[in-house]
Amino acid sequence: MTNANEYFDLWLKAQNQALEAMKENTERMTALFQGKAQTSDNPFEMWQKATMDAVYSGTNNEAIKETLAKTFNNTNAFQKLYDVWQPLIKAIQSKSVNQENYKDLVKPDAIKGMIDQLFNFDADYLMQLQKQLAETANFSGNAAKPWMDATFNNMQLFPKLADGQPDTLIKMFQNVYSAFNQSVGSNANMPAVGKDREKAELLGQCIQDLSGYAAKNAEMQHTLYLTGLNAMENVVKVLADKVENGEEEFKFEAFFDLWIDTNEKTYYALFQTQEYAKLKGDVLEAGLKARQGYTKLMESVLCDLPIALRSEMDDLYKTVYELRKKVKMLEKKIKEPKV
Amino acid sequence: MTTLKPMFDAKAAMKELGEFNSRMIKGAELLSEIDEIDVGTTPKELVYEEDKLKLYRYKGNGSNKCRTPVLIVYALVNRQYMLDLQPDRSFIKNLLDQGLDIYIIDWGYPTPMDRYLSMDDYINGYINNCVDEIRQQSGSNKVSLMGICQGGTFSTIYSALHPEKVKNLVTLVAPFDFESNEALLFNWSKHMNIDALVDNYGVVPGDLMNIGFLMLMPFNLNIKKYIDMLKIIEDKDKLMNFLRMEKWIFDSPGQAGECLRQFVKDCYQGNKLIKGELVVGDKKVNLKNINMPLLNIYASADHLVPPAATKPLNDQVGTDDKTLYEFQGGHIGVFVGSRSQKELAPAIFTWLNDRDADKKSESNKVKKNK
Repeated sequence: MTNANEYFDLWLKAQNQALEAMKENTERMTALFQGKAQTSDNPFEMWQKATMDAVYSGTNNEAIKETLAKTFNNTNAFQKLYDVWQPLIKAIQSKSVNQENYKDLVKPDAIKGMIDQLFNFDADYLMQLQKQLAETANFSGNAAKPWMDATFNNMQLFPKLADGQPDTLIKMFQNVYSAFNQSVGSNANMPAVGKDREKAELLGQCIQDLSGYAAKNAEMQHTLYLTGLNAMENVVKVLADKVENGEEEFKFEAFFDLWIDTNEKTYYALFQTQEYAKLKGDVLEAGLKARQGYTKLMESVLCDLPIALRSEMDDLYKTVYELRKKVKMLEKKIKEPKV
Repeated sequence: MTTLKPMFDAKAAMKELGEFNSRMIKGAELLSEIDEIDVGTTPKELVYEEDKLKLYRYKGNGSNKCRTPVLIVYALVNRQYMLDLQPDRSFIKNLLDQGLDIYIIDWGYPTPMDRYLSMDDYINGYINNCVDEIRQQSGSNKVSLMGICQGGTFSTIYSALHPEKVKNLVTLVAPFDFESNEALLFNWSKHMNIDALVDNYGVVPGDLMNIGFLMLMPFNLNIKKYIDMLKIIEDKDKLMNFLRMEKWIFDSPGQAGECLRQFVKDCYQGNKLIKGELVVGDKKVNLKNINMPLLNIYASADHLVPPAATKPLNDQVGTDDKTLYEFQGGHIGVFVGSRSQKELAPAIFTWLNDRDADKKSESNKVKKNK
């Protein structure tokens, strides 16, 4: 067998066989595997989920659960790296690895997948926020709908922006302009009144802040993707050197160590720059601004209900803090020996 | 263009990956058998409580060679049981066995109600109350302070504000000069809008802080560490130690907002402590007031608090009895490494014991006010 894919298939089959053996030995795992076996197309994912479920059900210790979750998530990155490595193996087998064509051997999508996982770039998170805002917008009448649609459309464009497609910005602007025309463009001078106006303004601000955050986040993602690709190019260069030097034994684990070390060094160089530190600060600030706006919006929606709002609780906490401090001071005075 | 000869053995590579997965299966089984991760097992008793703070005294072997009690002040970030993480490599147990009388502050977990706690409350309030309590309970006029990381900065500020109560000051891997950008945390903090962070959260979540720490070495701390764990997963002792460290790393209390605001603004961003411009409560912190003996310990490979942030303290204090101690290792290795047990803990004891010569004159000076 000379084809790497054949070996991979064989390995997957072997994994399945190992799982079958485990089924017979462990009742708990048997049940879980039987329950999951027909729902997944990917044997590794199936195995991973079933194993994780089995162990989760067997421990109540939160620290172990957390460690397991991290181990499984990050060993998944290990597997993903294997996907990156595969074209390299093929290229070497076909005698086409050299320092000139290494860029062609790196799969940007696979690198992006690993970076997304490592830096917790979760596209669903922004979508969920957008959905929450959409639900909130129901309190604010139909004027908000075009803006919500525009935001939703723009959210979907952010990954492209992160990938460095410049025409994305034009599309985003078109979406916002269209929303303006449909909502307030025709009667821009007509002021809304009362609480509804306040909510609509807050909502508009929220959308703007969220878009600002998503844009900054996209900028950071783009920077990190480029750094990841740069690191991978460095890895392949080192690899090509080793091949050129006739190194005979090269294991995947060694490749993994090389990949980790090279990435850590390449990212560290980026992290040390003032530009990155500023960008990181900007992303945090934009995220916090969006969060603060959302909190305000929530308070404006909830203020008529008989519940304590966060800002009211903060006032209460301050009063309690000041009173407690005063009591402590008085207690100390009482204990002090009288002259 | 050079064409290269084939060198990869695909079959071996598949086997390697297969073995890796087998280890994962075995590891998962072993993990499921572990019910409890024991940390902080050295016996201790609760001697004082205030709000969420608890002050403990460790139960030693009864022969305190140093009469002056030692108060350990740990950082607000993470938990103090790092010093007593593994029963076989406990920094605390080691110091106890040497002959120190040790007290330790457990800061607890701040809740939203604690958002207004300031540096003044922590230093002139909690630490001062603990020091007074120990003085009263032990009968010693002064205590030795041992501050760790941020707790070292706080202990130093306390010693400058209340020198009459501090016999010796020991600081471990603590930042004092924040000018350097050698460590990423210092560089990143300078661009952080701390007002926005504190105004938003009140008590800044520990998880948020943790993400920042993990991003300092993202590939090693998020991926390699767990892959490496699978290499030792069949060794239960090593696995337990790994889990203890994991438990500690992710057991991160939230940060009381006002305290964090001042610490980041005045220290990380303004570098006011070393410049002599820091004000805590209503008093300016003058490092020249540190007239007691100082042992300042730094780690040569510290990626969180670089030596450049630690060493300048010795040039600023008023005392002539000052020692700078380099520990070859990283920020955490200071407490859990084997060399820490063999070298550092005995060195700290010896240094304190040497300065405990006037022990008789220091004891029984405190009038009990009960």
